[in-house]
Parts: sequence; structure tokens; C-alpha cells
Amino acid sequence: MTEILFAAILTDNLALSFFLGICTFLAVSQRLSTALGLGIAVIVVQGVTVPVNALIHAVLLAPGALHWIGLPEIDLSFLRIIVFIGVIAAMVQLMELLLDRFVPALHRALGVFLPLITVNCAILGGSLFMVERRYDPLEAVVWGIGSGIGWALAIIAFAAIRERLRYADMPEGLRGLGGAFIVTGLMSLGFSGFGGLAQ
Amino acid sequence: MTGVLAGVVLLVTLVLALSTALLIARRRLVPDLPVAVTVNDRAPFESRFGTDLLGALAAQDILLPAACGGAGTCGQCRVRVRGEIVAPMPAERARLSRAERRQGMHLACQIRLRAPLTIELPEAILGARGFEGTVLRTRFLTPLIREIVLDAPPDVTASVKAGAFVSLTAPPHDLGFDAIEVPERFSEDWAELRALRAIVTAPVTRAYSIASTPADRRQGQLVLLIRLALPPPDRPRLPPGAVSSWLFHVKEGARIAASGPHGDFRAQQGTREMVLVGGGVGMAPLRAIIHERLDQGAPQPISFWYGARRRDDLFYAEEFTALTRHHPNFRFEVALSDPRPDDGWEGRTGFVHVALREGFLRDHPEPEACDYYLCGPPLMIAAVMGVLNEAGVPPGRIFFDDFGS
Ligand SMILES: Cc1cc2nc3c(=O)[nH]c(=O)nc-3n(C[C@H](O)[C@H](O)[C@H](O)COP(=O)(O)OP(=O)(O)OC[C@H]3O[C@@H](n4cnc5c(N)ncnc54)[C@H](O)[C@@H]3O)c2cc1C
Ligand code: FES
Repeated sequence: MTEILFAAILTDNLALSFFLGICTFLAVSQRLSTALGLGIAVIVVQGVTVPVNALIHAVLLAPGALHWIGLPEIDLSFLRIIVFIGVIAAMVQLMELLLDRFVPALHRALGVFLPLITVNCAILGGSLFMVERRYDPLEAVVWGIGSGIGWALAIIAFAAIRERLRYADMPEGLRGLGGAFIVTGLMSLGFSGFGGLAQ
Repeated sequence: MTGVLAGVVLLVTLVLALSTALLIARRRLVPDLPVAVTVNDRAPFESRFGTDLLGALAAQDILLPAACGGAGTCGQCRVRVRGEIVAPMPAERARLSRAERRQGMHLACQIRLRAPLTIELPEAILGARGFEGTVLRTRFLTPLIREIVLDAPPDVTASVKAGAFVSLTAPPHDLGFDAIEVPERFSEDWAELRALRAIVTAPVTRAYSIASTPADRRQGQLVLLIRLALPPPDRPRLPPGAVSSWLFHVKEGARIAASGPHGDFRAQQGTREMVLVGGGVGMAPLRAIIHERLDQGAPQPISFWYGARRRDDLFYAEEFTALTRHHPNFRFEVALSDPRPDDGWEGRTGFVHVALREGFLRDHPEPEACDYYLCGPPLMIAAVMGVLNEAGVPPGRIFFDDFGS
């Protein structure tokens, strides 16, 4: 279990090792407070969708999963993507309702990037990796929450660095996105160092 | 076959289950409940959960100025919320200063009603109301500025204070500039503009300052100065201004949907020397203020510095020259930045901020003891702020009306 958690947060960091969800990562990292909000939203969405998808996969989709209604030969795993995305979409909509109700300022600050989590590759990737790696439902919970934390950690650290960078005397052409890409690269380099720790 | 069937059943059930879950969540989180709103110390009124405050107030005929129509970019729909400070929305952070936010200022268009709310509004705004104005007459003052005189309900004109503005709403329209009647002397300036076309598919509202003198107001007349908003020179393919183009087409007798009076640009009471600096249609509120103060018999020196490019861009000059004759405490100075040889101009030349510095600030014993009122193009306001700052005028003595939003 701890290996999965460790991998989810650090070595297999969705943002910095797999470069998943990078569009949102770059777009919503101007302010630390907004990044923090989005990070928490991603942890919740990931922490719920991965286990739910794991359950659906185990009970309904996987080859032989339907033996409990007497149809052991049916394999619905080809429906994986559409089912996972459906669950993610519903979860994100719920998230929107919750934020709009309880943290309206964050809801506004996230703007279109909140609904865009629906098609965020980090979120779908979390569920697909779970299937690929054959995690059991309990492991899926750890992986879901862990990978959410990992992504949140990456964007929060990145936003904090970007806030500082605003006062740095960077060459004209590197201000803004140019510098952001370089920082992402350096952070990814740093995270790859955790790979050594894992062995 | 059973595989396909199982897949279909599974998908349908899943979608139904997810939708049901969302419906229930929505019912819980966005209940259709009444929410009470209290304005100042009046009796509260009811609105629905989740509506925005700007709309809720409008439904009660409390019309806040809202030039951007609720997008959160004009910063005009300000209200003070009583009670605990709510986290500001991003648009509010951009439009309101830290000090204002600490006092509980908000933009009404950004607030969604979720719990009973008590807000404070200036009584002057509560006096604003929607009305229809009839165009009495129009004329061209300069090639791109048109004067429109509206006949408005007497209670509206009576509640106007100099410096206030009205919001005018243009209906959807599709108007070619070749249909605009332009006086002969400006036809040359207009030759290139004839190809322009203004197409607007939904009603649009914009703010226009009231230039009426007290005498105009007593006759129930709102004098408005409209500057035609042309596409920026470097992007000639953009459409011309939505509302100003329409206002260049309206004819006598037309009825215009309006609301007002709005705004808190005002002359300070008291006897501090007044210096007014303007350019273009910035003339409008300054004219109203000058006439009002002189009409009230203000004893202090009042000077009006107006900047234009050339003779053709100068208007109301005779009127102000006449005022200087009747009121020894009033002084009128014009600076033309780019007079034509055939203008025969013998007055000041150069930018108005330079004229103000050379002709006023430099020799004035106490520039910091005057009140300054600025209204005009953003660049002009910035330049004048610069020379005032140099002369040691504290920002608190400078009042300006910012059209550029
Ligand atoms: C308090 C206050 C008082 C005011 N008083 C006056 C007054 O007395 N007289 C006066 O004339 N004005 C006044 N204004 C300004 C006025 O409210 C309008 O902003 C102005 O008339 C332009 O409105 P419009 O609808 O014609 O132009 P808009 O449609 O708002 O267009 C503005 C400009 O943008 C350009 N444009 C169009 N499309 C685009 C695009 N896609 N991208 C970039 N640019 C584009 C247009 O060509 C135009 O130059 C006042 C404003 C305020 C806030
Ligand atoms: S209506 Fe323009 S900021 Fe609220």
C-alpha cells in the first residue's frame, strides 16, 4: 500500500512524470490560492472517481465480471472509456454545484477550467492506469487519492514558484509561458529524482 | 447478442443513475427559495436564491449603473454589503481597491443571493429610475461629436446633480454610416467613414454624462454629448461603437430607453478654488458643474482648461467666453495641440497639461489648495495627473470621471 501511495504522489506523479493535465496545470497556476483550490478539487474528483470506476470495472466491465448474473462469458471492458468519462463528468458537475454554492470566489476564479476537468487527461489517466495496473478496489482508493495529491502538490508548488517569478528579472521573451515551461521541466527533473528513492 | 444487450442496458442504467444523482444534488444545493434583500433601511424585498444582486435590484426598479451589463468589467455597480466580509470575486479584486474591499464594497453583478443580505446604496442611486427620453433636437458640434437634447420626465431632471450621467440603451440595429446626415462643413472628414456599418443583435447599454445647465434642467432637458467611437486606427476592420453609432443615427422625435441619474462625480461644496481640465466629450460633466457652481453664486475662482486638436474640435467656446464676462471669478483657457494654418488660431497651442503647468500651476502660490476636476481621454487624464503630482497636489484633491471602460 505505501509503495502505491508513494508512487502515486511522487515517482508516478501524473503532472510531472507523465505530463498529464498540463493544460490546466499551466493555465490555473498564476495564483497560489486558485491553484490550491483546484488542487483540492482534483484530489476530491480523483479520490472519488478512481474507486468508483474501479468498482464498476470489477463488478460490471472486466472479462467474467458479470458471472454474478450468470453471464460469465460476456466482456464489457471495451465500454471502459465511455463509462469512466460518464462517471467523471457527473462528479465534476457535482463539484461545480458544490463550489458555486460554498466557495463562489473559487468557482469564478477557476472559470472554464473547472468543467474542463471532465476531459482532463490526468483524471481519466488515473482511472485507466488503475485498470492497467490491475489494482484491487482498496488499492484503487489509495491510488486515486494519492495521484490526486500528487497532481495537487505539483500545481501548488508550481504556482508558488510562478508567484515568486513575477518579481524576477527574466529576459523579456521568457516572461509568462516561456518561463513556466522551463520551470515545469526543472520540476519534472526534480521529481524524477524520487525514482531513485523508490528502489 | 447478449453482449450488445448487456452493454446497452449497462450504459443506459449508468446514465440514468448519474443524472438522478445530479438532479438530487442540484435540488439540495440550489434550492428554489426566496431570499430577502434589504437596501439601506427600507423594508426588505424578496428575490430568488441564486439570482445576481444586480438583476434582483433591477427587478425592484433600483437601477445601478452597469455599463458592462454585468460582465464585471466596468466596476460601476458598486454596493456596500453590511455584515461580515465575504471573499471577493476575481472581478471585484480587479475593480475595487483593497481599502474599498475592506469596507465591504462589492460589485452587485458578482454577488449571487444565497442568504438574506443587507446592502447600502447612496440615496442618489435610489433616486435613479428607468424612463424614456424623446429626442428634441440634435446637432453636430465637431466632426465626431454630436449634441443630443432629450426631453426627460421632470422628476428625473430635477434629481440630476451636475456631474451625473444617464445610461442609454440602443435596441438591436443594423445601420450604415452612409445614412448619417452630416453638415456640409464636415463632409470632408466623413468621406472615409461612409463605408462603416454598425450591426448589433441585442440591446446594448452605455453611460453618457449629462451636460445640462441648471436652466436646461429646469426645462426638463438632458443635454448629451456623444462622441462617435470609431475602430482603432490600427484595426480598421473592427466594427464601430455599438451605442454611439446608433446615437448618431437617431432623429428628432425618437424615443430612447434610459435610466438615471447615476454617478458620484460631483463638485465639492465649499470655497476652495476650482480647476477643471477637460478634452473631447469630457466637456459634458465639466460644463454641467461649471454652470451649476456659477449659478449657485460660488465666490471662489473657477478656471476651465480645455484641450482640443484644432479649431473644428472646439465647441461651446462662445458660451464659456460669455460666462467669463458675467462672472469675473471664471476663467476659460483653450489649448489647441494641432491647429491648422487656416484656423487663424492665436491662443495657446500645445497639450492642455502643458498649458495648465505653464499658465497656472507654475505661478499659483498654492496649487495644493485647489480642487481639480478632470474628464477626458485617458491619455490626457494621465498627463494632467502627472503635472499635478509634480506641482505637489495630493491625489485626494483630484476628482476625475473615467470614461474609458
Ligand atoms: C461614467 C461614464 C460617462 C460617460 N460619458 C460619456 C459622454 O458624455 N459622451 C460619450 O461620448 N461617451 C461617454 N462615455 C463613454 C460611453 O459610455 C461609451 O463607452 C462610448 O460611447 C462607446 O460606446 P459604444 O457602444 O459606441 O462603443 P463600443 O461598442 O463599446 O466600442 C468601443 C470601441 O471598441 C471598438 N471595438 C469594437 N469591437 C471591438 C473588438 N472586438 N475588439 C476591440 N475593439 C473593438 C469600437 O470600434 C470602439 O472604438 C461615458 C462612460 C462612462 C463610464
Ligand atoms: S455591471 Fe459592470 S462591473 Fe458590474
